[in-house]
Amino acid sequence: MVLVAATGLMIGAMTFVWGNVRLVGLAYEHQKLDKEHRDLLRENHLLRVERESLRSLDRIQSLAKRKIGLREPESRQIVTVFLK
Amino acid sequence: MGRKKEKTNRTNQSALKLRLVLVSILFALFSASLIGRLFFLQVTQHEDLVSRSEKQYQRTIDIHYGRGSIFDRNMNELTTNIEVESVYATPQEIINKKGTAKTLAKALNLDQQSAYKKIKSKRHFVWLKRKAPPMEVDQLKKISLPGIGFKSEEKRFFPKRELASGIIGFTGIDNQGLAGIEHQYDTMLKGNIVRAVMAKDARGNLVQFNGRNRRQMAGSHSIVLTIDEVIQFFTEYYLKKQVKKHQAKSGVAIVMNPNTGEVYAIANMPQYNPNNYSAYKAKRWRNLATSNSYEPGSIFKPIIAAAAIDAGVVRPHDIFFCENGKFLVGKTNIGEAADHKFGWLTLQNIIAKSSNIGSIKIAQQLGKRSFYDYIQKFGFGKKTGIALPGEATGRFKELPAWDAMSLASISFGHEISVTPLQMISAISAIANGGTLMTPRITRAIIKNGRVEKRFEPKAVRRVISTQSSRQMVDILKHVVKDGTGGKAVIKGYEVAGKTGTAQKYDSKTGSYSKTAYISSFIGFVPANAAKIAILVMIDEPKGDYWGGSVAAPVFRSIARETLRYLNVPSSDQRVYILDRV
Repeated sequence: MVLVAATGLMIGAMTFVWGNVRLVGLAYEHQKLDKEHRDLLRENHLLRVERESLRSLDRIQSLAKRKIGLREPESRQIVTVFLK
Repeated sequence: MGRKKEKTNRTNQSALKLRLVLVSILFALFSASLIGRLFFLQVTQHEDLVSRSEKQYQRTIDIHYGRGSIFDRNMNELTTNIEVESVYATPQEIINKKGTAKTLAKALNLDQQSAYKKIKSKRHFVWLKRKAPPMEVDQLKKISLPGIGFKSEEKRFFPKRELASGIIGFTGIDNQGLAGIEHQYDTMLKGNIVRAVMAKDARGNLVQFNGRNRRQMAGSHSIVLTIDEVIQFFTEYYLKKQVKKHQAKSGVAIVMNPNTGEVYAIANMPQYNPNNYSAYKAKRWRNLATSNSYEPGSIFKPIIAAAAIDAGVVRPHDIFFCENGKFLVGKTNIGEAADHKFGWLTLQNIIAKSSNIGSIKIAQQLGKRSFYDYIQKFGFGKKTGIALPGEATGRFKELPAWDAMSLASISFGHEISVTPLQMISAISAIANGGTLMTPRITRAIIKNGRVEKRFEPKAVRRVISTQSSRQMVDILKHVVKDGTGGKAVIKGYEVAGKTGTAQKYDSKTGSYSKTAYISSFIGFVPANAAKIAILVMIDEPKGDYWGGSVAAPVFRSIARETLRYLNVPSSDQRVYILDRV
């Protein structure tokens, strides 16, 4: 009788401890993923800043005209299409 | 014997009783002290002990919601924030102060003496370098000096550099708005800090987070401008080119939608890079379009013409004698620009040829009172109400202070100062059928991607009738077709506009300069259904200084590019209208 009670108590205690250990483990994992998420967001942000700088119209115009040799179209070369 | 035994028993019993009483008292005292201690801990000391225990397993962290962004009308980001690190010192933890100062000065590019002074101080915390470049921080981290720490901060970054810097402005070291939109909407844009409580383990690692709801609630406001990045670029590009070509002191250009008052572009020359604003003189930070006022010169003549036509005192084909280039007003002789000698001119030709004497004659026909009222109706002398800081009102004399010369001078744009923004708003009223619109620079305020407030077009008042507006459009078309504005012609479009070449007032000599001019052109296109109104003003160009040859070509270039960008077809373009399938 005492043995059964002790075993029951032990199982109960183990279940309680296991639950807490699991919770703490998940919390650590959550923090790790959260940090990874923040790092990725930071990297994404920096890449966006770089993209915005590279998309500077001053730079694009200079590349288009000098490097690729593009030029502005004459009005007779433009066809405007309006959709009803 | 029996009696003696009985006596001993009685003595033993009373001793036992006494002991029992003593033990009971002791137990009672012990219990009372336990209860007292429990009461002390659980009731009296409760708050203090709870907070002490919380400190052991909880940590408060600050979540920063950075300064909101500024977007152009097509949601292109004009400002953003980047994470940088600031370097601080805890002077008490530094033992070798001289050696540390030397290392810091080298790594952070600081003056060794000032670094030493900082770390010698008795304070617990001193900043060494705020928002230091990442290279310097990395170098210092490698050395790992005791008493030197790093704090992550946000720095405002302007990815488009000089583009629209006069409008956007810049922020200070603590990210506070100091100029432009950054200053105007500082309260709205500035980020906030939300504190969150998190559980921590014995090693101090965070193990729980409950801040999700707060994260959703917080967030900064962002501003969407009416500015179009592409139009802004064209405007700055062509203005810069001309200012450079003519070695001018400065230049300003504005592109506006005359029907809604939305400002598409404001270009100021010379420019500054807001990422490094302190490297420029403070006067470069000014937005010349709103903060400075000028004598407009001949671009003011459409105002007198519109007023006279609307008041019904003249018609476009009425003729006036222009005194063959010499006209005495009071004691002052008024002449024409470039010593022209005009005889009889219609009102239309007075504007097309920019006759000063003709303008005086129109003003005399209109009269002081009426002219004064129209100047006010067109919005001069008052702030336009644009959401930009430091807007000037412009100036002109109150009616009772007008002397014999005032009516004459103001008719050709002297003795009155106006801001470029007031001028383009007034010309937009002529272009759009007669209604003065409030110029707008902000389109919407957004938060977490949702529009919180939208700014709608706002009419101030009707200034002239629709018919007067139509007649004025014809007159201004004539300026470009047959008058001084020939260089503003754009193939395939009808352009309406007016040139201006204003002599600058020299306060040293107390007279108008014969060498310093403001060359300007103001106009709108397509003339009969205006999509854009443009003002170009170039201050003190060298060599050629006529508005028609310095400012009009800039107008043409900006207008041509903008019309193409806005898909406004020219008459020689092929246009197809197709049904949607």
